[in-house]
Amino acid sequence: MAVTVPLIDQAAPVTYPVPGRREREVPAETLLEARGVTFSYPDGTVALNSLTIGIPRGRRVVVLGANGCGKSTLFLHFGGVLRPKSGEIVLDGQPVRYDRAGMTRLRQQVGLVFQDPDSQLFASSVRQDISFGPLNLGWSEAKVRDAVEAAIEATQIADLADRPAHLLSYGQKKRVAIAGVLAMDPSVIIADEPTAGLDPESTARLVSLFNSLHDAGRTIVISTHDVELALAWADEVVVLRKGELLRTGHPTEVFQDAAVLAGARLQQPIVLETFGHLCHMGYIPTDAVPPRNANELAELIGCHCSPQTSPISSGFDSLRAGQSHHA
Amino acid sequence: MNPFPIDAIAYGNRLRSAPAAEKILFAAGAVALCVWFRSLAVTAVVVTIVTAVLRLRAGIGLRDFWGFLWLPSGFILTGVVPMAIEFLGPQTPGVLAAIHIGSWHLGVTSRGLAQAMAILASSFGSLSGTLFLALTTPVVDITDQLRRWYVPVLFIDMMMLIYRFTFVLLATAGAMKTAQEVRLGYSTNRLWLRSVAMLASNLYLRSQMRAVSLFTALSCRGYSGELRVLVDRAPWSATRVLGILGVHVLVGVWGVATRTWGWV
Repeated sequence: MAVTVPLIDQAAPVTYPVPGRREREVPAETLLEARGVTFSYPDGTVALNSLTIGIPRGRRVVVLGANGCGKSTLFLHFGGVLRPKSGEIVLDGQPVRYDRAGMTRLRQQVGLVFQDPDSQLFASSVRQDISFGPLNLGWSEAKVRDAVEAAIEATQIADLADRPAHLLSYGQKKRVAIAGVLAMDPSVIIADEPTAGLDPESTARLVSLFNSLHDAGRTIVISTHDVELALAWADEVVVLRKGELLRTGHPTEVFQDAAVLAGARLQQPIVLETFGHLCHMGYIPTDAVPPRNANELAELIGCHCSPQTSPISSGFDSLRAGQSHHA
Repeated sequence: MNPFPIDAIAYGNRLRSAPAAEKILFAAGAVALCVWFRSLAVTAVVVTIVTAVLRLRAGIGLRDFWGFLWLPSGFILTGVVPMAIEFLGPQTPGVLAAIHIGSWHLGVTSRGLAQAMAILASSFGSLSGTLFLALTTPVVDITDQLRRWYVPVLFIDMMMLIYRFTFVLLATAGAMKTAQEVRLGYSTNRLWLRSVAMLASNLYLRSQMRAVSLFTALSCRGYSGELRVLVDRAPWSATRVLGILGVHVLVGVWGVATRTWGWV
């Protein structure tokens, strides 16, 4: 199923697929876990407080929470950059070891994309930058070349491959940064606020890139403050608050949990808010499946409020009739 | 679109796709000849050849080339002029001109002048050779070629990082300067000095943070002390290399000849 996301520039609508509803019913094994992880920074800030969460294989997971809730710290733990003060990170059922072999395994499996692409890109050309990760895995040159070209194709940056990083736009740098981890063939790609600072079209392109990576069997984890995106896109939402897990679950359930929204200082997505109002006012039955984007909401309205019978349209009709009387 | 003109020309000129090895050979030969002969006659020929190759083969106009040559030439001239002027003793031979300030005698001797001319010739010639490479060859091609020649990895890594982060640093400094400017940070001379000082110290801190986050990001991609990247094999043609060497030899012959004839 694909929905059309209307952009400011109506001439070029961008589509990105929305996951089917049934996917979540299939139980998935846990790919990456934090088990009772506690971490505090040298200045004493407790960033994670005995946090336990699991990332199911093959899912699209969105991590939500206010600034400073521990999202980035959690991601740095998954990438093996930070080490838990207590608790452990578990990959494929095995606790992560922090020796060279353990780190190589973790970093091949877990691709971490940083928020600022300038902190990730270092080489003089895009292609060289992408080749850095796979070369560190000790692959043969032919295999590295294939991986680099595949990553370039998947992220659609072929026209940028020979350019230096300073000649790229912000959105292009983001794609290059993703290509750099994709070339290492990770099972899970974890991106810290990948859509922050992107225009709507670049955001839609990035989301569809994540979708194609997901379709190819990869697990995708992103953090964002964009609740509409989280609702429309995620298979699973994780809400953090002050380094602790507040709730995890299907986006429509999480976003209808008033206590969670208040606790994590999250805004309810406008689609669900409108849905709530319409249910409350009796236009839509309260047992209807909650919509995940504007199109699904429009479909619901179309099903339950027919133009002839609904009070809304009859109101409009009488208004129009009144106007014609005056004329 | 590209705020860095040398970089833009390096990526856009007609010699861009020529093998870097050949361009490095041509430039290195030019520099070596100028440094070896230290003669204005050789430098004049080298600069003429470089200008012609840039104009005819790379499609880079005179104005661009001389525009970039002009600024560093200023540095060379300001360095060379004091070299020609020296304190004179009562017995100094070959004084061409002198002024006397009290008991001080400042002047130009033929030996000093010759020395200054030699420095001028070698540095100006080397400059044009280096600029030829900078204008025709993007840095990535140069580092690639150095890798193929087994230049020590540390040297190439440093070169690559300095190149990349020069632009990041420039962008950061530009953004900080704008932020200061809109808050009137440069409205008086006093404020100007204060703002520049703040910018410099902040830039240092930012660079430190950059280095830390770069290290983190590289570690996540398996960094273990060496920045290895893929390098393509570049073809080079024996005829062109021989042609380049031929030009070098001809200029060398010219250098020897002018020296025997006693020209500068």
